[in-house]
Amino acid sequence: MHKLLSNRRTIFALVAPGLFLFLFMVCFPIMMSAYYGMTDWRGIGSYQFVGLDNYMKILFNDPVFWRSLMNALLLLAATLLLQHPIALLFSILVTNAGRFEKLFRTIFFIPAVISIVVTSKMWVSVFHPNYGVLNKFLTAVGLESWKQDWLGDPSIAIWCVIFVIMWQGFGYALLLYYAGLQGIPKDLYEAAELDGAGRVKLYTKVVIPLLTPMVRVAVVIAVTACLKQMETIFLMTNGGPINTTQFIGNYLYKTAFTSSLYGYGNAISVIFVIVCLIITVIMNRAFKKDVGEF
Amino acid sequence: MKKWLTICAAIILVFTMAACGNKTTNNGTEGATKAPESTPSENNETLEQITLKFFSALADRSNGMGKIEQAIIDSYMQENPNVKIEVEALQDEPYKAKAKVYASTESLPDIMQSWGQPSFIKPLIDSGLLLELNSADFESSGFIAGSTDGFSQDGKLYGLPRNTDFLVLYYNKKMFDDNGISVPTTVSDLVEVSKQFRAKGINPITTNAMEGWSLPIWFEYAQQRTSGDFNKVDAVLNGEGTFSGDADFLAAAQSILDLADVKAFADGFLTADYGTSRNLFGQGQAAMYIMGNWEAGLATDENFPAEFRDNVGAISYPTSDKGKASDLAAWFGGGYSISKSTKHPEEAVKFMQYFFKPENWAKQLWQTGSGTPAQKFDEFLTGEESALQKGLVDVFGSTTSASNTPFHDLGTDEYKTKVMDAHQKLFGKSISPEDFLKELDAAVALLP
Repeated sequence: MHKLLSNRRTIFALVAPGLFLFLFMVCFPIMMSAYYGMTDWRGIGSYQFVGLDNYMKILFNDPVFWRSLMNALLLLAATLLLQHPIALLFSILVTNAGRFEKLFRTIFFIPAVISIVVTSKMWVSVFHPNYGVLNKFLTAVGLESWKQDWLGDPSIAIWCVIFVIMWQGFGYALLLYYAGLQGIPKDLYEAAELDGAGRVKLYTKVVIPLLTPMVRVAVVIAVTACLKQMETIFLMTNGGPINTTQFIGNYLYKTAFTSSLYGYGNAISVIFVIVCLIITVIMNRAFKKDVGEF
Repeated sequence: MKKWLTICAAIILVFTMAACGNKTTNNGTEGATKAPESTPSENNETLEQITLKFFSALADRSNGMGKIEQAIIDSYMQENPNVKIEVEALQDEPYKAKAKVYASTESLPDIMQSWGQPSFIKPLIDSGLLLELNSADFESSGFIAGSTDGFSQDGKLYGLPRNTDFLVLYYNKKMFDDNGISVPTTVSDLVEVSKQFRAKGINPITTNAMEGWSLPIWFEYAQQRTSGDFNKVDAVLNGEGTFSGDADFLAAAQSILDLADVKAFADGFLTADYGTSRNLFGQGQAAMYIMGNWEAGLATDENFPAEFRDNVGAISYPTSDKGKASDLAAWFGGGYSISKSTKHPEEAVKFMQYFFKPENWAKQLWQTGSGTPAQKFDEFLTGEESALQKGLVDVFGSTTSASNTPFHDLGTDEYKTKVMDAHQKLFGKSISPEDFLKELDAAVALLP
């Protein structure tokens, strides 16, 4: 087997199909996008080459694009600073829940297995100013002044949407940390206890450092999910009211398919790819530090 | 040997992956109906089997217009067992998005819904994607004069209109009576009435502001009511003048803001899509609903309570000293076109002739109360129409001037999006009337 794998031809034969698919299905479309981004193509008919006009306009004269990017970063911050710490805490609680462990694990994971269409539409109903459960509840407990037009008010809609996206992803994040916790050998806990570590010390000094690889995975997944957020937005607000909940994916779609600006849409997608690459580089740098081993 | 095994394995891997990526056959067409499995008669055995792809924006195949469309398709297939019509139906906006994908890949379905408005049909005609039709083939259909204009370019016909559309104000009579409020007749009444409903904690007016296309038509009404002339908007689009700096346009924008100021627009106005706003009105959560006459079916839709169905009425947009109720925002909307690349142009035309026989579309549409055809239909009046239908006929029958094609549809999609965005901002009170007009001018500047 070893001999076989050292044969260049074999290596090539094994790698070629995947490489071919990657080039054909990932690199080629991105290059085509970059090209179409330099045209004024409207989807149908002929088009003209306009150089870097589209790219310049996006970078220097398109407030909606920047708003979309800011929203993605806002979502990312909320995910990393709120959702993940809470998910980690709950995964620890679930691990220690004894005979209820399975039950809680299932309950927390339910939102992640229900179709996003269903949960998004459910939350749209919950937030509805007239018949939504949330406003009804506030009325019932005497907090009528707190009632809001949750998704219709430009100043709070984004927070509602971010909350829903975090809620949808919570189970998944929890499951990742939970799996990570299961991977830490039990004797490490015992050893730490024998050495006189308390509960808090046990987690801060032993468990969480050992979880670092899982944290990396979870963060990478969270970052990608936040950047390419589209479906929940599309289903809940379609970027409205007045583009305050716009995200790049949805903006790109709206530009290309509603406004028929395919050239411009392609330019957005290329810039989007570049933004993703930059963030990937930053993440790789940040994660270069050694991690705990066992 | 091992080497070859590995290479074989690699090849197999490629094929399995390719298989994963295989295009799945699209049988997920909502409401698609298979041809009845009747044994072909002797005559038919010699006939060529024909499959026509039919792409429609009437997504609901079990109610209203979609149901009638499907019924006519089914009966055609029954009468012509060699013809199979495969239906693909999507909601308005997804429909338009997918139609663009079909158009850009030059794979339009044989027959598709089209709109006789430049924003939709012009790029298709300019790119030579639509089949030219012979108007003589459809003489017996009795299309209303002028109704095919939007589907024509340079004297050639590229589509057939299905409906006569006009925007009205639906109202829930019971809600008005219960609260001792009278139905508004003038623009200032509308503001006053909205204020009264708000004071009672009731949503005054709803519409599908999330999609946004009803807003520019609403604005055209507001504009007509201040200036007394529907043509003013068209004049701006033709390069004669601008929106900014015109006192009438400014007053019109202000009249919309007046409504916004008294919270005339239902809660969640800007995030209400078509279904949500329709439901809000139908479930008695809003007193008025700005929408097209195609919603005549509100009076018969059993998803809504009987007390709503019996009490829904429609009037033209409230008037002013300059604009009368007979000045109507009316146009010829949706219809059908045939793809130029269809393999069966004759059969497609034959089906369209069948579809537009007066006793098919026009009669069924009218008698089920699902809308107003773009064909003559007086012979099908039964006298048993719902009160809502009669109200709509009265509104339409009294027309003295009409807006024609909504102005957001008179340009490219980019222009359309900009116009609708500007309106959303105005209705959402996040822009001043002056800036709103400036945004409209910026949108007009995009026109070729």
